Amino acid sequence: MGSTSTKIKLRTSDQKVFEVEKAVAVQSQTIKYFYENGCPGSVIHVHSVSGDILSKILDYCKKHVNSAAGKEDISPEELYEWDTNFVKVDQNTLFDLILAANCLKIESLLDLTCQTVANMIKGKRPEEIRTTFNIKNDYTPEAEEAVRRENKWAFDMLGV
Amino acid sequence: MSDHNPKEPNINSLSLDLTQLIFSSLPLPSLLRASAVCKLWNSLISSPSFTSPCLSYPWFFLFGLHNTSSRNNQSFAFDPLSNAWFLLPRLDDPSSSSAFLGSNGFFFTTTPNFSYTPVLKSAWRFTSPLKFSRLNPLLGVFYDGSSGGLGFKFIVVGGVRFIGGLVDIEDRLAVEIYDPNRDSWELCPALPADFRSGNSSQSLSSALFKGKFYIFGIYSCFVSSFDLRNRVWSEVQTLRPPGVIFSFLIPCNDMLVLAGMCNAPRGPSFNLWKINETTLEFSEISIMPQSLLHSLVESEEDENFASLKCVGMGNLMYVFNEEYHQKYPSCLCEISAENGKCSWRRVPQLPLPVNKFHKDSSAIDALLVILVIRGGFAYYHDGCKLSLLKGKSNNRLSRTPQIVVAKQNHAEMSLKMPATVQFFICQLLHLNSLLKNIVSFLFAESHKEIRSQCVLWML
Repeated sequence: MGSTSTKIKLRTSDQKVFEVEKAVAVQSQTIKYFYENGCPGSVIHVHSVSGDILSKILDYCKKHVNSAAGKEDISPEELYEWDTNFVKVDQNTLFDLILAANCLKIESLLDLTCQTVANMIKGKRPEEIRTTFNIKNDYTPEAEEAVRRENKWAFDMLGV
Repeated sequence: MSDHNPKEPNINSLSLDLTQLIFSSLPLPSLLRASAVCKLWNSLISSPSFTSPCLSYPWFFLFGLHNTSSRNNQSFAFDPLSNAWFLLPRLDDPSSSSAFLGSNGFFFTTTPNFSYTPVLKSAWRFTSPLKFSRLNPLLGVFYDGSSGGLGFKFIVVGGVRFIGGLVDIEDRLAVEIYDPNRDSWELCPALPADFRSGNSSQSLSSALFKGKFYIFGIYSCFVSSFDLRNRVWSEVQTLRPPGVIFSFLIPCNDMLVLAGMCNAPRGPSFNLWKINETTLEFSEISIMPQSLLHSLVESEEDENFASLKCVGMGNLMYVFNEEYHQKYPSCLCEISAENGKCSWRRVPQLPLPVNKFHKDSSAIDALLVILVIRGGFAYYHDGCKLSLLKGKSNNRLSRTPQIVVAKQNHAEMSLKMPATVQFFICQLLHLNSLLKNIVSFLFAESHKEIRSQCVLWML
């Protein structure tokens, strides 16, 4: 089909230019909007996303577009595993992906990355969460104790 | 240190919206623990704009009260989102009463004294005595703007009276409605006579739905509703789908659902019917998978099915076996608010060891109280109708939360009726500490108006 071979040009914050298949690029609602409402053939600036992150995101979109279109023979389980591996990245990259997915409006990727962070919070004690994300405890010991006491059962019950 | 290179994002460099989005996929215990991480997180989780599906899924509670030793009492709560049971602090018993009931997020004792406490709080309050003291009545908690102060009232229907140690089954006890502001009971017409031969909670089920308190005979299939505004009973009708042996009336999403055991030609089955509350017409919406039904009973003899009970609200219905000592197997059915599709699944086993409890309090060994309460609701009263507001979507990305709904409606009402007393009662049953801010928010908002009140039940 003609429309699938249409390419869209994207320029990132670090001035890298990507030429992407339309079907892949419009996974992003933001790009889709600019494509439909901009001049045909013009380069779409993705100001807040770096080339490294955009390249990762395009991998993700491509995988999902291909699997949805049946171009790639991949079972839902395999795709799930692919997604799981996709988000096995360092925290900086993960948060960059969240920011980019949010700004590009790619709902499934935002979902996947947020869920990944949620899984890092799930089942942990507050002090473990602080260590994981390098968060400073700004509670006084009394205030923290008060928060804990009010929901003691939730602190007794780790695992979820 | 939390100081970080601004070029290297960390969790606190995300926008607050995104952090809340991450929080929204946490199960409740994790969410509560996260609120102890730092002040920012606490304020985000407590914020009125924050919502989470874990607030809208009804939890299933199982409270076992041991008559001989309160040390053997046990309280469990099941969180459907994390699919896990929690062992809760033991329930205190205010007056060594064996007449415990649970309803709408409260516990009650009905004899020798009437007392109540929010679930999980154990802050018992004794009321002035019922005009007719009784055992096993049906109890409902409803929200009524006419009462001032606290917006809720209790309705007590039916039940049995003990006279000299004997149960007087012929007695038709008046309906009594309790107003906590005046600490007084109002007498209303008794349950219609058709229900006489079994007017206790052992043989009746009740459902609060659209300003009416429905009473349904579990075995008799009689149904009548009490209009909470006009204090009158409707005509008694029969609601008996073919083959039904016993059934329960349950308010689910925006519909009344009848859930019950059927003796179908192909064998016993547990069915759900959607009820049209005006015409009482019924249409089958789901049948519990056979394998699930059989996992709830020890063997497949008919009498074993007789101990199945059903409770539910919102989008969930729980079916459990109250006789199956030590295990109390249960399953749940989720009814989609969007398309009405029902999906069934097994609830995991209770964390062992579980003591032996019986629901039947006449056995007086110990007592099992089962109830189901939702993570959060908001009710409002607009001067002419009582409505239940709730988030419509369970989608994690959805931003139409319960509290926001309440907030928006509040704003709308404030505009429309500035001179009217407005009530906001948020019954947010789990997030005690989290929700204080919500209250102060609502209160601050409503304070601007002439006379408004809001109450939060922190449980």
